[in-house]
Amino acid sequence: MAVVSVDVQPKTQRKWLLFFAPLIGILGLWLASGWLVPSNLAPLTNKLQGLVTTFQGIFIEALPFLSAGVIVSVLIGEFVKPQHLASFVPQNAFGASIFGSLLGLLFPVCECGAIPTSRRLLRKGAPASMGIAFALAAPVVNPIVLISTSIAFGDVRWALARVGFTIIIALTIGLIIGAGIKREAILTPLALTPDVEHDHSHCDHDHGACDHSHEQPKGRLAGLIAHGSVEFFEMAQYLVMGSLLAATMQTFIPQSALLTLNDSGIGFFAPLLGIVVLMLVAVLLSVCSTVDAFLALSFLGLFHPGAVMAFLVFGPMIDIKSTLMLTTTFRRSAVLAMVVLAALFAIIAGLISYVVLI
Amino acid sequence: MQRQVLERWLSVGVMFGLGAMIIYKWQTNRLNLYIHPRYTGLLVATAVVLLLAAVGMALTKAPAIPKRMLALLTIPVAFALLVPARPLGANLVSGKALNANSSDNLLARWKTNLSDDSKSWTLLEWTTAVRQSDLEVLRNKQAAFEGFVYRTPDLPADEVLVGRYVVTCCTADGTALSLRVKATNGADFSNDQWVRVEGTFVPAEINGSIVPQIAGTLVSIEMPSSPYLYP
Repeated sequence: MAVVSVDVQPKTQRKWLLFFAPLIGILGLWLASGWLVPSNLAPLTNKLQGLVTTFQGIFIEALPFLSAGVIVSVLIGEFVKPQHLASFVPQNAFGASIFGSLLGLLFPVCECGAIPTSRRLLRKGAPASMGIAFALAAPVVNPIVLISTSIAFGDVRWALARVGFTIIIALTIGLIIGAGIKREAILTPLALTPDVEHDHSHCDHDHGACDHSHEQPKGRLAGLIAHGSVEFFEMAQYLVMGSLLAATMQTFIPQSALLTLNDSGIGFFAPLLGIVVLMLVAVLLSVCSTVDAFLALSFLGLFHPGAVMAFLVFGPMIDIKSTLMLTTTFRRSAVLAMVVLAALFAIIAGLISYVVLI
Repeated sequence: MQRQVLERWLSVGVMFGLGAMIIYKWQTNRLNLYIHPRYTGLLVATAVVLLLAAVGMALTKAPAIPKRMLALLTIPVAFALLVPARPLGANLVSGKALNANSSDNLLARWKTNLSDDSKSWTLLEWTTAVRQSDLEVLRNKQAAFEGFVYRTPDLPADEVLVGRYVVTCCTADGTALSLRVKATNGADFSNDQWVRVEGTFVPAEINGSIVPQIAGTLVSIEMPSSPYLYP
């Protein structure tokens, strides 16, 4: 009976959502458009237009990086064979975690790009611990972020500390979750589907797009476009959801409330509070890791360096949009474990920085 | 089969719409309502890639995209089509303003050296000056800066706040700055009207404390082509 009730509830929920989500969407869109809106609702229209501007800011800013990630993923899908991967990826969890946490140096992608790439590598047979370590570390452990962080802070030590903490945290989480647990328990069915050479996975949708031969370059290009477009939409939908959530919270929760909270800490808890507040800011802002260093810099006057370090380490791993995207690749329980562990370790990294950097 | 064809073309349309949206915003000079101008080139390149992808999808019979994804990706395009493009303005000041105590160090990070000619100062430089120096030192310095009008209920009719957002990457990190202006024609302006403040710095005494204030007039202007300030 339990099976039945578990089965029924999501279905009714989904129906409810399918009915109300577009309704709320259309209502919001109408209010935001300001077209024939009664004048006593004008303040709401104003707020919603601000929300739209904030949403477009996050969405448009992230779009180039998401597209780059999808292109990298599709190229891996096309040119990296599972045998290649197996020959140089260590199969034990420790080696795989280290490899995964450093792989970003080869594939310069931020969080929107790291997740599709991670899933592609997993489908090519990469160990789960490597996929986890890569998804968490790649947004920071890559040449672009190293350079932008050094430039923003005018000090290479900040960049090195950021990368160092990120590598240690990502490989530890990769080890904790990935070691000794079956891939099936960690990965979603999609991430488990083997991605063999020219598997024409886009034919799974049985839309009859399989009539090309992969020997012909034209067919190959068509395959790339098919894989790429599906992956783009799949990841971008979470970018839309995440940006909407982040913009809504920013519109209705005043930034100053968080800063006031930061100023209210006393004694031993003051550094801890600063760290937690900036980590919350990182989640709410959902800014791409390639640009967040410039933003972090502006917090340096408000918060102690340990809190800024926690922001720099935690933000790229976990924010609203990346958490949603992680669920495409990892099962919810695994994503939950990643979020909790990353938060815990980022706090520790922040406290260490607080003691060392102050 | 026909339904599939329809779905496939919808997929092409949404992909094309995303690319076209960016090109349109760029061409109408609205991209800088959302992002720091240094990303403009990157976005135009991305738009070209998206448009090419749409053409590719149309020519190669790419698979149809599930409806939920299409619906979600229609949201940014629908926003672009139906919601008037507006910069961050008076509507969000309450959510994005810094509280006075915390902003000192932040401003110090943003801008440190000020030119001698106070007439060339932007609102960011004015805010910095007010935080850095004694208000009496600034007394009678001339001001000519731009911003949007922001009214709060507690201000007299001839006094307004003139505000401007500072953006580091994109509108997600916009932070509102504002300065109090007592203008002879202050009562004529309402929220979000763009103005140039022309006047002098005259600290005012309000409820027993000295607050920074500009005394002068407001001149109505078009919204500047880059509505935000970049530190």
